Amino acid sequence: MPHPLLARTATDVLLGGWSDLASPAAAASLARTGLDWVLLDMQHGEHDDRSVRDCLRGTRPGDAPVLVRPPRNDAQDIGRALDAGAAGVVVPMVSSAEQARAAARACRYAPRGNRSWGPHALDAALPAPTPEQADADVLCAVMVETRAGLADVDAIAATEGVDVVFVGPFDLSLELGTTVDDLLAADGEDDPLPTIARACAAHGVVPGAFAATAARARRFRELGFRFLAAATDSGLLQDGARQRVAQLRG
Amino acid sequence: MPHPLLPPPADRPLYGGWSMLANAAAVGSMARAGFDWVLLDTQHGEHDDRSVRECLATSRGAAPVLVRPATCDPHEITRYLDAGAAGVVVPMVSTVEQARAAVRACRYGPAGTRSWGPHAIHCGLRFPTPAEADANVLCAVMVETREGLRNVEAIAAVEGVDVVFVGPFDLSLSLELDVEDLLAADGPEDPLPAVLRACAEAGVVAGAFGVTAERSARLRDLGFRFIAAATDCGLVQSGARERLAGLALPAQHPAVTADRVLSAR
Repeated sequence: MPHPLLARTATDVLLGGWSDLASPAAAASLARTGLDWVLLDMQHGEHDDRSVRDCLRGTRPGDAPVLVRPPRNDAQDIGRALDAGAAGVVVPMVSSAEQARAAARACRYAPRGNRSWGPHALDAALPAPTPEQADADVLCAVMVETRAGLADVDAIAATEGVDVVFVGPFDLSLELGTTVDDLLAADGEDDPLPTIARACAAHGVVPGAFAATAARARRFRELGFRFLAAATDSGLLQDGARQRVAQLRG
Repeated sequence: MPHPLLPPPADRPLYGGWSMLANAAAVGSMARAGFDWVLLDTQHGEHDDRSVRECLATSRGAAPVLVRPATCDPHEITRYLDAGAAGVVVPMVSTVEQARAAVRACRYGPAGTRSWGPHAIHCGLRFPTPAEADANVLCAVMVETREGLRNVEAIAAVEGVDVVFVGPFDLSLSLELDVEDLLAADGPEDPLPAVLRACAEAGVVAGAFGVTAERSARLRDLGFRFIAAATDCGLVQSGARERLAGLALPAQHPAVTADRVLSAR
């Protein structure tokens, strides 16, 4: 059964906003502009344990669901982001079925996984979800962004509890000794991105990717990817500032 | 003598980025994007004493960073200048006395009331002398009330005021006008032309809070030369909406179909 957040991916592409800035107001800005999801990046963005809690506490009903990218594939990091109220995680550097299973299990309570019970103080005044409900609602995306991950993508996509296989095109192109542009251009049957999209289709999981620019988001969409980071807050700010200055200076 | 940061009135306008987010990376992004100045807003933005220090500590060498204190208060103004701000934009200045208080808060004695004590940010660096600090500080005062508008000639003439900065939202509230009507009114007796004339007569720079591209262009066309042209949170929000609009697929075509069409091309 597809994750509730992913139901629309059958006919539509979910576009996400990637929060680099450890700023609740910036994260809320992304979550209220019509984007389908927002992600707080603890791996390469500014976010830390505190800013994740501050940002999650700053969201309201009706805002886009907020995911977290933990700094690594670590059960404690993942559990802590979920305890703080994240709707799910995008786990970096997943290069084997074992690592995918570890990520998926870290998102679920026993007997499906090894998540430890303890929703944060955030939820103190709210009814805590039951373990079953929490397991059903959590979204687990695993990032395929290494040569090993690409080689094992079929088994990774087949892993119980993996909802999205999410491509990190920068790390993947570094590993493969190519450029991001060439990686995105290659659309032969056995090229990396079509291979990943096919593995996802075969196992009923959603293929996703980090695009960050409009052009790359379009290209990933053409290649069949359905869960795309379409912009970063820091990128929007930099582009917007440059455009505004250029426009006014004529 | 005009402030070193400011252009002669006939020169090109200086455009600023207005920081609402208490985030040093966002401030750095605006400072490096080509804005002529950046302002940290402690009146209506998220900034506080700590975020001002953090942002000033990490944005050195890029565009000059100003601070808007929450009130026309000498202690606040001193504290932001101690932290390394290039100047202040002081809100709600409606009288000559208030303009004079803002100016004096920016300068050491005998001309002013600023207390000596540059922050730890300067540790290991040479402190500017009081005379250098006084010469380099920029003092902008915000005219944004009916009373301030009435006194604008005298406010602009106060020794040490470098910029008279219009807050069009508060001014339009005070005048019971729509902001767009305030910006549209360009008769000689209308509010904005009156401010511009007072600035020209006193030899100070006329500034204003524009924030959108349209309002900023309108203010430039009216003659303002120190314009807040964008806010960081506004750029994130408008950028996200534009990105979504740019990626929108026709409603009647599911993505799957549209992608097949695109792939076939």
